[in-house]
Amino acid sequence: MNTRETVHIFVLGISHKFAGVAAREKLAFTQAQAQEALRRIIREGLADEAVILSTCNRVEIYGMTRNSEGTRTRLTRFLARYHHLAEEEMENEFFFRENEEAITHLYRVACGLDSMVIGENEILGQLKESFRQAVAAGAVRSIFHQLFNRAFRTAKLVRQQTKIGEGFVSVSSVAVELAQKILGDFHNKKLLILGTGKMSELTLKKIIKAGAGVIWVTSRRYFKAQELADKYAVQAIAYEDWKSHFTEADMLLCSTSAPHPVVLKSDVEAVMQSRKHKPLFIIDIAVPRDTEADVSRIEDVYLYNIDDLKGLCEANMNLRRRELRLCEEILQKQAAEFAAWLKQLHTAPVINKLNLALDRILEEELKSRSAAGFKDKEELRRILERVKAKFLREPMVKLREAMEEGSGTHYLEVLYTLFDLEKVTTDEYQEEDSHRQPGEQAGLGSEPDYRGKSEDKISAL
Amino acid sequence: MRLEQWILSGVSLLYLGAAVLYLKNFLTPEKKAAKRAFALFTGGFVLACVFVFDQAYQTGVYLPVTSFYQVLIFFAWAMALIYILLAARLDLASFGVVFLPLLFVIHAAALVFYRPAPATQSWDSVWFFIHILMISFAVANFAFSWMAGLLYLFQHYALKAKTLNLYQRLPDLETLENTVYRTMVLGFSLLSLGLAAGMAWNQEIHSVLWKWNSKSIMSLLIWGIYLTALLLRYAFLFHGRKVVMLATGAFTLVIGIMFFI
Repeated sequence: MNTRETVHIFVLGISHKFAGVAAREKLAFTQAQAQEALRRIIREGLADEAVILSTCNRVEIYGMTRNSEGTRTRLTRFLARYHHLAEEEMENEFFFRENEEAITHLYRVACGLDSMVIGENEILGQLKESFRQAVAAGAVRSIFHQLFNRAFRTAKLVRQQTKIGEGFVSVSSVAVELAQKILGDFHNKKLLILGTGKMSELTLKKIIKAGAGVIWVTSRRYFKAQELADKYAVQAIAYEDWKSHFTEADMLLCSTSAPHPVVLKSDVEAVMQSRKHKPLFIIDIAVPRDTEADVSRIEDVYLYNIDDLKGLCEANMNLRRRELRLCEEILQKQAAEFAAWLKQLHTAPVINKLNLALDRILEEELKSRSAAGFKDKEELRRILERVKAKFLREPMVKLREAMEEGSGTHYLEVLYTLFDLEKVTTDEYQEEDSHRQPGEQAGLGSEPDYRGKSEDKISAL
Repeated sequence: MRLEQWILSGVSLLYLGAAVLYLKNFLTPEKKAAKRAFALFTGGFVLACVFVFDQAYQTGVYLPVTSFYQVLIFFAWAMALIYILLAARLDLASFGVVFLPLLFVIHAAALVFYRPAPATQSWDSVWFFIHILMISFAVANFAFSWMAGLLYLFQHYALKAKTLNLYQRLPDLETLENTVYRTMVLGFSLLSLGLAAGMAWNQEIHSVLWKWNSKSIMSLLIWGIYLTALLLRYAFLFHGRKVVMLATGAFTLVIGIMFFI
């Protein structure tokens, strides 16, 4: 009986939490590989629906199957074959979750709660792209449509109702935020970069994105400054000229490898005199520091070193961590709603068959000799339909309540047996697509109303 | 209690509600709290308009400034009008933390000093009307300049002290400094026009352009201080905390003259 073939949702994966980058990169999929792998997974019967998420921090396969026996083993074997790896090598790196745990995991990933930087938003875009690829590969049908669209909605809800995504948690982002608070509109501002390390480059990228006006780069090794200038279309200047440009700069970013301060208090005092005390922002991320500590005492100079910036990042991260409990409440509620929707899917095929069986009886009676004496056949049909609807209304309401409470499967089995629904088939009604919403075509990217037509069908009774 | 006292009380309560919501939004930022605060403020402003027009009708003059409490209410109304005009350009949520409590205090003081409107009056010169109107809006602009200056100083100290929550919730220094000086420019222009209208009124009524008394001396002093602040900023191009403090301190003098002279 259909009701015994329950839906199993699972996730098999490897992430930054359990495995290093060397293990993760062996299992990574390109977009083309993911599509090919998805087609094979469906063809080989490893899952009825599947999505592959492959990023620098995780590779996860989400699947739905009605035959959950040995899913983990079979999928692990498939991945090993696909990537030409030894199965034993990979077994210990994977995590495997099923049903409610798999659903909750997906929602956590979508909300950025499972990411290296809690609350980051990039993973949601990557998940949406993976879903699109799976739809294009024909690996998604109605259950995963529901599941993933609900995951995306949950991510949006979490962002709207909590502060999980607020505040910057990287040094370069915090630096840019501070610059905007001190200097205001970037477009007419000038930035001088002293030193060309990795942090300088990251901050430079963010500043360019924020729309800085003029940017000068300098280094004791001029070729390094020139390289950075060419890469980001900014101006390289000779190291000897940096002080003359400093008088015009609104922001100074220091990250040299000098063993002693290069930006002296007297230099900054002179600059502030010529700037008429327009606010000056100095970021000193060098260790040892490039700027004399007393510079921070100068009026209208705002000096931040690497410890200050990291402290602000940590403060923002703490704010995000305080939001985790609220996020968890929201996603648990959303996961429970999906689980409830999934449960009521089992009802639909049985109710459809019951309706068909009763409709057949109605048709037979309308065509029989006893109905021949009725002049108004349409009125007779309406009477019989009303009798059917009234007869079934109370049982269907009770059945829906029982399904919501988790005790409805027994009633479905009783209905199936008592009315011998095994024999009820039609050309339009396909048994293996019983989970599909009425009117939806198989394998396409159409998105059903998440409330489900089967619920309308029950209430129509 | 008369109807106008009820209206005044209603305005005070709405402004108090807005002040509480702006403070709540500042402590735990939430867009809804800021929107509700602005809605309460707008309700209070509409009611204040009703009060001002009613007082103007009762006293028979276009500007209801015939008593101390009327001066307070008219001044507060002018500030509220400027606040609404600036709404599109400023981060009002942070201004609201300073502005709405000030509005509430002014209205509460007006309730304390309330007296029924005097019998219908008329002014002896249109120059007096222009003088009062210009001076009222000049002072309202200086008040805004003062509030922007206070926020600048808060932001300056928050950034120096590296206090995360505070600096994130305040506007940037450039916007605040620009607000200080743009409202000051407008205020200074209106003050100049107001003083000129005052001189014309003096000439018309007393046949003398300028009368030397404590009020006129202090008015000239205020005009001089604001002129100095503007010259430092626009002619000599000085910026930063000290110049903002000068602008902020000038308003203290304005308040002193309004209330004690």
